[in-house]
Amino acid sequence: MQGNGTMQENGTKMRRYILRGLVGLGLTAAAVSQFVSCDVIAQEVEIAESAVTLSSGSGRAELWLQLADGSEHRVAFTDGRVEVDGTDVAPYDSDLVATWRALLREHAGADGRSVRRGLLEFRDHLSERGQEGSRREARATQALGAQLDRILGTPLTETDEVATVAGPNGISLQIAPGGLEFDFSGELDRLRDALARLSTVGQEIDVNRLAMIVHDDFQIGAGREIEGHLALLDGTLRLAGEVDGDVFVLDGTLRLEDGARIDGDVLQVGGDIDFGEGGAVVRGEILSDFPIEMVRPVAPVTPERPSGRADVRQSGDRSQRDGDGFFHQLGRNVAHAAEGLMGAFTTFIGLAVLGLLLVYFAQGRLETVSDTVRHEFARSFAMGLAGQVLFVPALLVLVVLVITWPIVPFFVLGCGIAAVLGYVAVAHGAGEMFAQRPHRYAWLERLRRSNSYYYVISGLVLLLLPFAAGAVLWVVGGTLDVVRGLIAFVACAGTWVLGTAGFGSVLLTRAGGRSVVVDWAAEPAVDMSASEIHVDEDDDV
Amino acid sequence: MSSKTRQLRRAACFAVVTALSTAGRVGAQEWHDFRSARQVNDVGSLQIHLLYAVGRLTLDAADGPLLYDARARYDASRFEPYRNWKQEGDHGQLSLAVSSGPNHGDDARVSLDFDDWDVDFNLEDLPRGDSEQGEFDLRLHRLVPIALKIGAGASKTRLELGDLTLTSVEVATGASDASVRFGSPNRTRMERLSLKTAAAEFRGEGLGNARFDHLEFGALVGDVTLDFDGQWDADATAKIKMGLGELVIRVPTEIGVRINRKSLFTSFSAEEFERDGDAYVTPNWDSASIHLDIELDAGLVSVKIERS
Repeated sequence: MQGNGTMQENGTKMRRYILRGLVGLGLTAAAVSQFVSCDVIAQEVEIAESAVTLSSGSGRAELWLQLADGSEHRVAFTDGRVEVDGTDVAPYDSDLVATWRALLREHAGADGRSVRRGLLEFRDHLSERGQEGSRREARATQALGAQLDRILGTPLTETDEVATVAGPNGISLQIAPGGLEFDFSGELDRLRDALARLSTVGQEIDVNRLAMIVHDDFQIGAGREIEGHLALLDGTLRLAGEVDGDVFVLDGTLRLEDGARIDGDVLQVGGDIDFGEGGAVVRGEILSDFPIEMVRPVAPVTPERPSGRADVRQSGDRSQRDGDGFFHQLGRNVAHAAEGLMGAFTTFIGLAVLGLLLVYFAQGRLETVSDTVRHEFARSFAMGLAGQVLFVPALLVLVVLVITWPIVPFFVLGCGIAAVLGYVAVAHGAGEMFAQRPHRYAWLERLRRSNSYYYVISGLVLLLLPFAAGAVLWVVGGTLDVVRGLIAFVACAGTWVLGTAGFGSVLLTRAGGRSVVVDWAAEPAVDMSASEIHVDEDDDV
Repeated sequence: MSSKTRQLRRAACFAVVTALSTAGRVGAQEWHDFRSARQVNDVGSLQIHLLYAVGRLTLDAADGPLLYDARARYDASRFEPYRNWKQEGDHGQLSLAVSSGPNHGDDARVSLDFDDWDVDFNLEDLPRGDSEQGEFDLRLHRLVPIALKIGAGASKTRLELGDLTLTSVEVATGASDASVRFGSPNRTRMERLSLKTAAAEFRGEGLGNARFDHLEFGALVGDVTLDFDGQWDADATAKIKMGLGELVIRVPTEIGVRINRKSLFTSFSAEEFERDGDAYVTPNWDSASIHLDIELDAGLVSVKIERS
């Protein structure tokens, strides 16, 4: 099955598949009541520890086991008898003890999973002997096999515990293990939800190919083939055979034994998958998608390094400083702060030089623009806004009219100069207001100066101060991120507003060439229009 | 009420509204764990195309039977995982992405174009996200020859490309912090290694282990370190372009290095190098068995060349 990256393309098809599948599964619900009953099997258990005792010759051959639940077991071949947990179980012959000794030699010191696998193989060997040998041997191996099943919780055979029901379109559907209670409608809901979840990552699923549902501990032995998809709803499925389709894992544990083969995909929306020691083959994709219930902070990524990497040369040392230690973090914060301060300072120096040149060469114009911003702020801002809005259309017109191309650079340059002149004029105005403001503290009075050079410098300091303050807050890192963000926002928005007003003031005053400030306090001029002059025509007579 | 009190009240209201809107956004997150993997089976070579929008991106070699193993943690309310697999003969093509989908915003164009195998990642087209919580971890089989193409707008990128069998690598990252490292030698010669970054901080380490014939490096602005340490076994060329920032180039002493510089406003420091016409060469240029020829095109960059 091939995954497709575009969810929408699959959506319709996916819904159709799910509907058809669910209808089909619903039809089988009635037939499920005809399950073949069988004995309840034990829960599978893990081997936590094991130890082997092998005496020379035909002496004692013992396996000691401690299971995950803490219980201990001993299986010993000694003096012609098999003892399990100290109880004489059955006699044995030389062939059986040879097999047992080979098993112990092979798995001495191995981990619990390996020992378990060996015991399962030995269990299969017992089954074969029971079918081939005499009645006495069959009884002995059956007794020993039952004891091993008791310890390992292994199902005797899988075939006895599968219930086959008629599925949709004549397809047979197997429920495994068949002897346990199975809430079909409830599991149907879970299956439906899982399929819907997989559809969100663009996975096509043909439910009509569903051949088996496993809802509790179960084993599919080597040599057995499931023709179609298999869904694991719960329990532990030990797969040593083949599945000619996809395997859905909704919950429980899927264990792939050596030799297992899945021709389709392994699709997981829950539970666990144990891919064993690499001897299993999955032809398709291994895909999973889980929602995480709680949002948790993600730890810094530290990729696992295989132990074989110990000899990797650590060229350069910067990667070694990725640990976010306090001093490292503090250093980065200080560097950020210094970077921001340097930016603000550089901007200040550039604008200050420009401002001082403007004062020197065009003080009158600068003051006119500055006064206009101060006294006609709303008009200036409106004009600046209109200028900004019209800039692009005007530029387009100049570009479209080919004959005006030579003007374009001058137009752009002029607008740029107007913007800078406007900003410096705003700084001049701000400095002038600062100078005229009565200061609460005596020491601030020493700063009071009244000339345009001072106005420009102090005004620029005032305008750039918020940027510098925001930069300084980097020192305290993330704790004041919100405050720093607010300051940055206010600084940027304020700069835009003041810059727009300055730009508008330059436009209004034609670069300071005329004053447009209205003196509202002055006496209104007498209107001498002719229409209001009363002329007594008789006077001339 | 005084004007100062009014101003304080307005500021407080603004802060509360901002905090509430931020909290609402965090609460709407829906985190998922995603995994896509595939066994080697009969795949003899692989092309990988990875696009990752946001978060932390890591890549490493892995042991075991898996051809690739991609695991992602993503905010399902904003991003979607994409994957596409094609196999022709023994050649596999894999596309992987975690990016905004058509329903989630402005990365849709990049995502939808993703089916085009020859798409070239441009730095300005890389999707950007503002979350650092997402993760993407890609593990690759060591022995299968792989052509790798990565576009990452991630906030942090750590690519450990050593000990893989890489036939070509193309990485474009807009991450604020990125490193590409070859801790062990590449298992085959690499025709082309292309690294493009808009990162504020970029480190290329163990580049000698990449075993490239030609390196192309481009950076817009930032703090860049290119360390050519590693096990060199053949001559190579490198073309390095940078716009603004600081560039440190470290070259091993055992190879001969020549640097042709094309720059106007660059501060250039190469203490152990000698002038040879317009070029700078190491004293062992004529005697070295392996040569690295670097063409450096830098703008407003402080360049420092070190031999280690």
